Amino acid sequence: MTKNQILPIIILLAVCLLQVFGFSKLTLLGVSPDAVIVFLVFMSVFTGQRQGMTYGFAAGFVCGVLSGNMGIVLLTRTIEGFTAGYCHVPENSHATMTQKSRMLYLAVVLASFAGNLAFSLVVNPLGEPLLYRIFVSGALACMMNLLLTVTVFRLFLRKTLSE
Amino acid sequence: MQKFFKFLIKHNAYLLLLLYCSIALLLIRFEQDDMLSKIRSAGTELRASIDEKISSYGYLFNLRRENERLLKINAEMLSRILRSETALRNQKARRALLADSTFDTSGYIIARVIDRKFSSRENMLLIDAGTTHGIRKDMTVLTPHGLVGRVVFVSEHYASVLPLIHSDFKVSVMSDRSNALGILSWNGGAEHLAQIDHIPISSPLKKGELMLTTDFSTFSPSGIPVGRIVRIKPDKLFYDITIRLAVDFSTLTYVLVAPAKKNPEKIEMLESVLPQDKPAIINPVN
Repeated sequence: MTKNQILPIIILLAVCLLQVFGFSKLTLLGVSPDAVIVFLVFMSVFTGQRQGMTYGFAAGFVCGVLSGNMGIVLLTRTIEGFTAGYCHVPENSHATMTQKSRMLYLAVVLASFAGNLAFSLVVNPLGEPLLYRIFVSGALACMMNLLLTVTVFRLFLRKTLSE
Repeated sequence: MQKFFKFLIKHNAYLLLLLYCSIALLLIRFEQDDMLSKIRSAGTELRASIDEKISSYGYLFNLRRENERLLKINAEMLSRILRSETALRNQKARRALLADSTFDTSGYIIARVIDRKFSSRENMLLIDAGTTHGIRKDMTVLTPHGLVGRVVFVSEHYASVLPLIHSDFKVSVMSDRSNALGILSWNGGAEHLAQIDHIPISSPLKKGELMLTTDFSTFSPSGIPVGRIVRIKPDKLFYDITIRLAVDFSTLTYVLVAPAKKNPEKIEMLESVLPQDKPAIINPVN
């Protein structure tokens, strides 16, 4: 395995652990920011839909084992990776940094919403009305994830993408 | 057949999604299965153990704060005990506690001993509190067990403490039972033993009596335990007394600094009345 293959796996594991033991504890109205989605979106947008989906499946497995809801988490993460893949920016696209960042933010919003929708349809643990969960909690989750993505993008990803 | 392969290549992302979703749905469907239950319980156990480790690190980080909180409570309790004991001893002097303006038990400062120089005669302590923390020269340093010493030099963030086990340190002490007065000094040697002079043999002193600081001191509040008499031997006029000090200097880590006595009039009076060559007998404090 090359460095390019091992590094994303290590980052994936680290992000999953960070999510389960860190970000999941920072809740606002029952919603917490999702670090895994930022990673999945990044992979989907810049490496492709299939890769993003596979990373989503792997992240779902790790987070699922640690959280105890393996099936549901696996499903939502896969869907998130798949949805984000629609905003894929090919390597030879000559897209500017602004275009890339826009695609990234759009992918985060889409993936968050799709993941939330899938989760709400399969299980509704808080017993809240389905529409409330999809639109209110979903919107809040989208905003949180978008905020996290903007922060991560400005701190780390912009430098990585410009290289 | 070629069409089928073309279809597969064209829609491989959807097929992969289908495969992953099928696996996920199967896992949801057979969630209660033995094998999956075992994986879930192992995962939960792993998570709990990591969570426990993380919280234990948090506990370690909070230990210092917790220690300081407990020391503050300790200081408060010590001040209460000192006040009540002083009041009990001075039953004749009514409202002794409130009347004694020099015994201010509020505002104790907690400090950590960060360095100490111990030798057979000259010992010195360094604490991590200075003028910025409210430390001033001549403040009394003590622990809940008893008297430690006196602040002799203060910088912005540190202070030097002349401990009781220094040959220059002298303090007026009295017995808790007989009120016999003497002067405590340390002549070197064992750091847990000190000597008391100038107690006349007519005083009804006994072995095991507790010695406390007195009001005569120009820096120390009265009633602070100093030690217990372990050896008492009558000489020509005075007793030759050895006491075991209340404070264990070998394990000293945190100390309390009591507010300074503000009685310049008394000091001025003592300095003007007493001959310069004999101040130690009546006013034994440095």
